[in-house]
Amino acid sequence: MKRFLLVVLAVLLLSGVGFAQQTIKIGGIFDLTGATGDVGAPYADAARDYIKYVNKHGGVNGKQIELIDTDYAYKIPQAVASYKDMQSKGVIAILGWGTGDTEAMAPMIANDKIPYLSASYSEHLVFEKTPYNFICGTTYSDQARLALRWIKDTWKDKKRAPRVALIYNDSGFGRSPIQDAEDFAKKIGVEIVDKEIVGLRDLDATTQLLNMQKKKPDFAINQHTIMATATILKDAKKLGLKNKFIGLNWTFSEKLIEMAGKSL
Amino acid sequence: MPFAFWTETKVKGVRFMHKVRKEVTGKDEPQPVNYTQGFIGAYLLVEALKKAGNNLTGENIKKVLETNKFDMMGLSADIAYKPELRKPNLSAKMYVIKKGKIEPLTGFLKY
Repeated sequence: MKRFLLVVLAVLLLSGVGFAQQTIKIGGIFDLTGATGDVGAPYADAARDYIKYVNKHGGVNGKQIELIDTDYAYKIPQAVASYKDMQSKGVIAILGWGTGDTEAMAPMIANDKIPYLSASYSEHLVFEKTPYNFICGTTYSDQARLALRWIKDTWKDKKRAPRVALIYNDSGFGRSPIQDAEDFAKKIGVEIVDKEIVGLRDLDATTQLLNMQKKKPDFAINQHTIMATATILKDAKKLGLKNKFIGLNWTFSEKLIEMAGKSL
Repeated sequence: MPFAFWTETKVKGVRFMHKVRKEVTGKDEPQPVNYTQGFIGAYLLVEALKKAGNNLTGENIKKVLETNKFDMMGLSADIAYKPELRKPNLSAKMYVIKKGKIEPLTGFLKY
């Protein structure tokens, strides 16, 4: 009997069953070179660093993690192709990136039951219709609500409501919090006086800022990444705009100080 | 801003992030806040995988994410999803750039 057990164990090990269980495959769909690569590259660096660290310290429950990652350059078809490739390789979860691609893939993700932890913080991804999407930060809509609440709570002029403009880019990411911000502003008594669209890679926002200036906002809430934010702040300084700018999370990092320079 | 900056060394998670970066790459140059965000994603997934044990199906990982509170060591507010509303949290801080430096303007805000 003892000899039989030994033979069975040996066969299991040689068949590879034992080895296959030692690795956990996860995916990483990152933007290193596309329109949001300025903020995507350090994001990917951190994910890779932490997985290496975990593996170095024994992995997860004794199993090593294999991170299969790719640069999809912020292109939705490329994200879909990468997702399918990762799924065929047997990943059990994916670290994803942008709003447009994550929202487009949400039905596939739900169907395949692959938990998808994205860097898109779009509020469209938190309800029951996208059951396998998990966002890893406060939603863009909630960030806008928090900013509006802060504006309202710190506003001193009792004669009128604060006036706010919204600046965003015309992508799923850019549009994501706009309607929610407008609805919340109305609810708490903040006036939305203007909406302006500036492209993620635009190097000039003068026209949009001149339009905005005519509406006399006290604040402008900005939904962008760093590159466009630097453009907006430089042009605002050049035009002598007096309103304050509040950026949602992707507008703001140490790199903005380098890029926007004296306009801050 | 819902995430901690590299320079906020009073935050436990930031000190841990410094340790990881140094140990893995041998470098300790400052990283932008987007590094914190990527760290949070990977850290959260690893914590969920640990709790999932040997049952590494999508269904079980989802269940683990939806039924636990995850201590993010101050890198962000703690994360706690619900099945019907998978918002990780509802708060963020405001920061201001003053004389070329990023300084906190508020604590974690709520609306």
